[in-house]
Amino acid sequence: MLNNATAQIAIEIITENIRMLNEGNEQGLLDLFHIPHIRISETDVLIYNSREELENEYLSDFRSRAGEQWHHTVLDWTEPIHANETKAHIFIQWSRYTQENELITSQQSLWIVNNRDGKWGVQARSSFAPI
Amino acid sequence: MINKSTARIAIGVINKSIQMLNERNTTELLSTFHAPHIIIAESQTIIYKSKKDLENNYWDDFHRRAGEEWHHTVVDWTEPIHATETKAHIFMQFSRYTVDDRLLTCERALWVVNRQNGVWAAQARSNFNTI
Repeated sequence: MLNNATAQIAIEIITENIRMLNEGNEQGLLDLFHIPHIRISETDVLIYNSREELENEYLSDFRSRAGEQWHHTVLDWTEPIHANETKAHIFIQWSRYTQENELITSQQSLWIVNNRDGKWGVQARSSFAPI
Repeated sequence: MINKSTARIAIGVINKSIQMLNERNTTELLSTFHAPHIIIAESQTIIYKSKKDLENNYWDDFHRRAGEEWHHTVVDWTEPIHATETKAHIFMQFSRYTVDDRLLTCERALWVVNRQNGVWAAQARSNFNTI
């Protein structure tokens, strides 16, 4: 079950997401998330129930996770797992780096990207521990 | 990345969940869910924030989705996608039937099953429309 057009859209959303994160473009980044936005890590679940919650908490939560040394994130690879006309499950690996391009961590994660009311965005992510 | 032991546990959780659903055993059914429990359908996202929220709303929501004719659900197949020591992504297909075994609907879903505080249960599901 792999709709190639949807998978391509979903990968573009993920790529744009990482780009906005690296550019520090908060509004551009948050525009790529659907509400509620859900993060399921191996240790906890974070749910952002409104745009206001995302604006108030998302980047500070991210900085707590990423640490002070974080400078940028690289999308190592993407693997479409399932996709139909309105939804995709994309498995990805990303790596965080310092300003000197020293690797901090790599993680794998399943992103759920869907179309809600005509708009594509990221509804949820389910991550695995650092590899 | 498939830890076979975890995948087996996760599939056991899914099978138990469907069995308890069919037996109308609310306590045991809800014991197969972590709170928050998240259902990402194609049309909406439902979040049960607590066990109480599940107790108060899960069955009503289920009956609305399944319809009055629903009698039982069958797990058609399960496919482990990813699994580590504490978390698994299992893709599965289920079918709903009437009391006289007439097929009502057939859907596919990715279940996120994880271990929280020593308990294995389903944290989230991401469903695709009727096939």
